[in-house]
Amino acid sequence: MSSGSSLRCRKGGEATPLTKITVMLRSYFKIAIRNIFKNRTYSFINIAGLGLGLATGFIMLLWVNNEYSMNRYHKHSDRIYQVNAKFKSGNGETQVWETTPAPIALFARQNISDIEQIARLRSPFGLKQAVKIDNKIFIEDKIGYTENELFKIFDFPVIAGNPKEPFAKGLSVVLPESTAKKYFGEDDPVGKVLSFRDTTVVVSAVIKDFPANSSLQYSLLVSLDMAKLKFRGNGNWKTVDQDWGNYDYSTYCLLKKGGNIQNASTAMLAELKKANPQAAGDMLDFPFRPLKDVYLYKADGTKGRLIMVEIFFLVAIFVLLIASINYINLVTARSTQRIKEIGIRKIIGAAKRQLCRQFFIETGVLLALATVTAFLLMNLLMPVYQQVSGNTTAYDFANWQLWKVLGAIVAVVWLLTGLYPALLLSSFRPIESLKGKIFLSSTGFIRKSLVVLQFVVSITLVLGTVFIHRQLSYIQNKDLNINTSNVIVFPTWKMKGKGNDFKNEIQRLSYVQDITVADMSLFDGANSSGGLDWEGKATNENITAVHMDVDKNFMQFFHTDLKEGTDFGTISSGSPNFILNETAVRKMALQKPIGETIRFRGDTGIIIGVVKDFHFESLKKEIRPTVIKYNAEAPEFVYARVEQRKAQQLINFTEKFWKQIEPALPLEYAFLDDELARQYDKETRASHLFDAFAVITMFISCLGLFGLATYSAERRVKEIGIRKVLGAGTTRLASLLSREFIILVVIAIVIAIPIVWIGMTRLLNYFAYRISLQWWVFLATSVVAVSIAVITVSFQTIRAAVANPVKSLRTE
Amino acid sequence: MLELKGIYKWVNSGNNRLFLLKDVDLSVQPGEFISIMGPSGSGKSTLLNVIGMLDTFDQGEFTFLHEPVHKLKEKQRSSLYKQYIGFVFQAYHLIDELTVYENIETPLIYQDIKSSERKAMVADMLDRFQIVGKKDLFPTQLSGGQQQLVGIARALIAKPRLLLADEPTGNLNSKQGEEIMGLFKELNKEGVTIIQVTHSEKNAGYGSRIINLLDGMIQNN
Repeated sequence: MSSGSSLRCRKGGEATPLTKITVMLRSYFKIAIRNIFKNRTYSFINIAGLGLGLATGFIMLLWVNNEYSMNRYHKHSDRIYQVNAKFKSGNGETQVWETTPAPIALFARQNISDIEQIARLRSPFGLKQAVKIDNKIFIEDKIGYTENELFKIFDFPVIAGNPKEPFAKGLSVVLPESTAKKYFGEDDPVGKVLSFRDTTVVVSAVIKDFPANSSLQYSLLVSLDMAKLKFRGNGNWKTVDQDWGNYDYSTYCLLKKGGNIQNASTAMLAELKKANPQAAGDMLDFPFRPLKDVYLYKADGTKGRLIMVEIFFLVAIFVLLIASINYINLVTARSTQRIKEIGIRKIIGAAKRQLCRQFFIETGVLLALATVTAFLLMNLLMPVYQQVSGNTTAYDFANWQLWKVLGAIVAVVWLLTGLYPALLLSSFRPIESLKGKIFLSSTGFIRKSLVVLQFVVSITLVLGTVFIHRQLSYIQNKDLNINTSNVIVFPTWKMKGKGNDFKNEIQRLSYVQDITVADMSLFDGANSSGGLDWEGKATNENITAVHMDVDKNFMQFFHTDLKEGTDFGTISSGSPNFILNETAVRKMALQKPIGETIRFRGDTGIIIGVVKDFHFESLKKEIRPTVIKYNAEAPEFVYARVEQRKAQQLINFTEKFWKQIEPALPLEYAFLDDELARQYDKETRASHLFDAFAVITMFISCLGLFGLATYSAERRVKEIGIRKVLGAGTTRLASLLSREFIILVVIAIVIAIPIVWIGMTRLLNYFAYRISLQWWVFLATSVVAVSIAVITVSFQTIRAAVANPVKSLRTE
Repeated sequence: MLELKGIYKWVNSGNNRLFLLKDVDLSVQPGEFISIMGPSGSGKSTLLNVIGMLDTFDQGEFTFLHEPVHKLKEKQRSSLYKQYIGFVFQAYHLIDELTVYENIETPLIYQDIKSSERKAMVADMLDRFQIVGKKDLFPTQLSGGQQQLVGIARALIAKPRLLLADEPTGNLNSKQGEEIMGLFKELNKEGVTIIQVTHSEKNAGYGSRIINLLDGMIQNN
């Protein structure tokens, strides 16, 4: 076409690429904004749904990102390991501890060439200490005892003091910046003195605060010399550096480049066998655990915290997916209204690519508004989230890492929500779209599948949440065979030998109903030992049993049931006497337990009674075999039962007593019922979070359903009019319109039930005592879900059904 | 300018083949003003859409400005019509979200014309159709006749060589209709080739040639 080329010339100069794009963008933005304002309901539903989904996704994924990046910021993090200890624990099982004996680090430092640096860190958390500076007293319980090598392994930058050797000779402490500020204000802390109960130490260095993504978090680090000074010996081992028996120290090492962890581990094991021949038989290995696994995995390699991280990651993805689906569904459902516009644009010269871009930008504008909404919601949700999750992570919005995550989420959601509508809408053939010949029948199926997917997710979450609640309420209300109400427990072992005095004093108080003592705190970790021996025990049998030393009154105090034999109350002291629980008797396969002689922890005595199994630990665990021994000496814990209204009186009394012994430290006590509830803290918190997830996903899904019902009613307005003219009643019409949506929800329920069944069965296995998955819970929840869907849809369907048919027919 | 030779278009319904266009031969010279007439369902709009390359045909040859349209791919066809053909519709088909100015400007944006040049072209067009005062209004704020003026302005903005109009006065009252037809006459004088579909003998009279269609076949020429 020779004339063609000459014709093209009259088009005039073409714009430069940059102005071309800005012109397009400006035009598209304008249209997008006008569209948003023109369809307010639609825009509101879209922005609210996306905003809520994004806010939830942001919070969760930021948390997940923080968990994943834990400890990975250290320069040498790929060469840092924690040395663990793996040994036999009877019955062919093995156990892995995160701690090792102290001398192993000394040995490695001198003899293992694969290791570049190795450091010990002792963290007796939970033990409160008073730090005194001049006349001010600070109570600290996050104190670590460590040595200079720690700073050569980890990146804990020293900002004052000697960076090579933060700990000076003698007793010194290294403070994180915030602790230094708390203690000394703006003064230079280096060289200042602070004192513990009976020792004085010098501040030798200040380090930057431990970042949020460090699993090591301390208020202050004390020189290991302090721990050495306080060491009272362990049998023949007189110093910390010789003590091969206690596993009190976390040991971290920096492997040489190209170093071999197997060599190092083998050498350590050989040395331990030499130094502690007694333990040699049970000790299997010193596994080197990579630093990145320390936080997310348990020492034995199973998933620890990672389970929660993975669940949250999945849920966050699901919430984002549901919110994205909403957008896609609403856009495609509404596209019938835009078909005309698309047709015109094509006829007056729009290429498919240009239309695609337009719809992408429209999605982008809406997404931008949703993102702003999400930030507002985040501010509202964050405190709630922190409270229910118990997670105090504060998000630092100055951190570019955070923006990377947020940016990635928005980008993925943009792609997800923009792509399909853009491709679909831009593919219409112009003349057909002008004639209104496009019915979107094929997209109907996709849309319906997406709605089903949304409801599968939200109903799964709702059902899961219902079962989690039932399980928690089950274990919280289960009969423990032990009466814990109105019991206060005092850790009298901290009273420096005044435990008995304390016991005697409160026993005299008229409002103290009853009192007992034991060597352990119920629901706060029970001690167990192997080596239980009895007549007729098979040689290879090894039962690990919980041991409790209690006074005469213990059984009566806690209202436990004696199955057979006698209580401690009736016997005279003398040789040790034991009461076993039913589980112990069953495990030991004793036919006639009463009068049998057993040997346990160096004591030999007879069984005088069998107590009905009672719970003293979380119901997540099965009741363990328990051996209860009579021992009224030196009470470590005193339990007192008081009337509820007198509890404060007893606490006040104890406070006074305590101040005489330990004026600096606060009194510690606990209500046993609180201790019991604390067992399920994590689960209760998680269940609250899942409540929120379930509500959010259900809400977003219903928003979508509402939007779809709106468009369906609009699309079918003529049909409704005709049916009405033919005599259909309002109810019949409303149900006709609702049906197509309710069916989707029912399909979703049918798909969700087996998923919940399998998932919950696995989750409940985590509890030793658990509910069964009752069919009626499924039914009831389904009914509720369907009802919510019906209500959501009926806003629109009823409105459509009562509308005057003359109007709707005339408009056609 | 364009030539149709033995054009057939049909749809299959069941075992029957329903012909929408049957053996249509048509040759259009530059500068002609053709009116296509015929009863409802005779294939007027279909023929117009085929000429405008918005619709396909099943058999025959179609040459447009020496290009064999029947041999072109869809993409080439659409770039051809975008460059040389302007469309005017009975229902105006303006974009409701855009102002008068923007509606007229949009084809230029799609053709990557510079901003300054676009402004000048749109201003000319507004001036010529005496709708400068309406440029910031939205289509729904205009009367039918005004909307159609905007529609024609939009069709002409890219300086097409062929203007296709499908019952351009069908939704207008007679006075507005006369104005539009007067405008067409004027445009034709300026050299724009026009093909319009119309029911009205009077409107057809504005043209230089009438084609009568019945059941997809051209009756006279």
